[in-house]
Amino acid sequence: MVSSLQRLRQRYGRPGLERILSSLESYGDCLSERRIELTTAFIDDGPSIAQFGLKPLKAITSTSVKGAIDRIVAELSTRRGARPKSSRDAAQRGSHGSDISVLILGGGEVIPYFRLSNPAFDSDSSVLSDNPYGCHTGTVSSEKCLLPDRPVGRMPDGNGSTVQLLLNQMAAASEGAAWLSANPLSLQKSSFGYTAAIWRKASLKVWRDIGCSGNLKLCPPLSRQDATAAWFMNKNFLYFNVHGSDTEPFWFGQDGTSFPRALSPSDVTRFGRGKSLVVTEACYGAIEMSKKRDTSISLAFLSTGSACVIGSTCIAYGALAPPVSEADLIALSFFRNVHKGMAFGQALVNARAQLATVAISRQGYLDEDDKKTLLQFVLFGDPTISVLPISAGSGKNVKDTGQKTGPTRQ
Amino acid sequence: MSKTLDRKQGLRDNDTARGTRRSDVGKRSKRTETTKAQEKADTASAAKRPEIEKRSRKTVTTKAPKKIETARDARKPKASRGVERTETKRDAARPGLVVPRAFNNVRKEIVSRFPEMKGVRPSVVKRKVPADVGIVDMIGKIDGELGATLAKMKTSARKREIYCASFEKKIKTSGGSVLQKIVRVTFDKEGHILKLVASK
Repeated sequence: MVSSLQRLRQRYGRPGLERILSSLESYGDCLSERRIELTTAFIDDGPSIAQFGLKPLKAITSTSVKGAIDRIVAELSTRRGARPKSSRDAAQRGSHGSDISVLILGGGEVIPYFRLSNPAFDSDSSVLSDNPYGCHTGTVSSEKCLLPDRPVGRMPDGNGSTVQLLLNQMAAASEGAAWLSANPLSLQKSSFGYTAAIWRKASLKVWRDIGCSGNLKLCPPLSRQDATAAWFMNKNFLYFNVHGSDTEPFWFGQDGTSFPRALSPSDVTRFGRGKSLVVTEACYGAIEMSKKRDTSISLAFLSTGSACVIGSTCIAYGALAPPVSEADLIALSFFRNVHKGMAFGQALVNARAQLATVAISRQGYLDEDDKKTLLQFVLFGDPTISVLPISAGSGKNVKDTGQKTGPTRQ
Repeated sequence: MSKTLDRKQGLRDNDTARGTRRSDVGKRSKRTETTKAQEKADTASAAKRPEIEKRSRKTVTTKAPKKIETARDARKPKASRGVERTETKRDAARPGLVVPRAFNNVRKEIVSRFPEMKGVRPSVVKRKVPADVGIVDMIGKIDGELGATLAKMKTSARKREIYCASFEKKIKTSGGSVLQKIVRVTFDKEGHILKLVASK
């Protein structure tokens, strides 16, 4: 776990920081029950960072933080003697690659995102991304950070939120992880999908391919006025294929030229109660800087107990109808990987690789939209959480899949 | 077909310097201030015209002009971010000037699927297929099976001449919110739509 002690202290004061440290302690205990070792590194705190032979960072920039993370990971690998001799060794250890995950505590104003050049020619000046934190040492650029192989998650705190948002996320990670990995889930009963009517065909393709059949709602005719507690009650897999905006707190549906409001943060805080996994394809679905839970739906989900939110930091793309591509493909691959029992962070890493594979096999190359999609999706939450494997199609959990989930570190 | 395209590319360049003979284009540096002012006025009026294709067809050409590199062009990176811009930004908003007939069909298709894009002038770029060096290796590191599958595949698609058009519009919703809507279409020179995506 990586964070900045000084910035957390600036934001929440000494009492707030003490509450965070206390929560971190109990969070570490919960992780150790799952055979995961939590190693905490406050990169601007001398005693904390000295255990890795590093000096505290004076200036916290994305590049300096990446440098520190790379050295910490190298140090941890050396201690465990797990450093692979070659990339082939790494691949041979299994499709999961690196077994060290990075969890960033704090949003972009605590540990900054990388601002990578936008591969697509659209109105985004840059792409906010955590990909470089998951890449090996080397020059950081859009081209070189398309496919990180180290799982990265982040517990964002937005701007103007109380310390409770971070505490809730650590609690959700502790309780949710235990619950999700112990209780058999039924895709039929525990899934909820909500899509703009214009994306109906593409969403149905994703929805059916991950083994769900009902509960995919369309906006329009539905809108946020129709949201009820039943939508989110006992739902663990939430899928949203809607429009989003960087200036509006709402997500929108679409049918022709009609763009009704599909969901708002207040709907989520009113009805969202659950240990859920949320995947949103909305543009700016995972934008959190200068937002709080009242103005960001993803933060609202995290504040109400969701263990994980996957979303885009900028304008995302997708096809109207199958074959699915870009954001739809990330969502589909991610859900599939999670249902196989993969940890959330690793599921996203593999989903990116699967998107790249499909794009290259269809087109022969990665185009600008594909590249942007690979960079823009971030994971909010603990990347080591996983669910019991679910067999594809039947919607039932597979009790014995023969998959081994070895201990990992953060 | 490529010859046809070259001619049409020539039409485009000639179109900018409307009122001058194609053979005169290479002598722009000798123009007087009056001529330049006249050209500026002509260009401004030309930008207002909706039917660029018609105007292009009326222009009589004999051979392709030499491309003139202005100081502004020299400052620009020639191939930035994996995409080779075939035109200046202003010209890029004139789709008919790149592959006129083929793109007209593409544009009609877009408007029929996305009525909100009616009247939007797309920007069109010729896509330079990137090298993707190392991507397959990287995929192989994350998932060995996927990497092996890709390594066996042929990449004949890389040799195609393709274009990408982007339609952008800010849309005001009934609730007063403003949404940025983008539709991106990849098509080949015959006008076949290879990929169509829209912003979420």
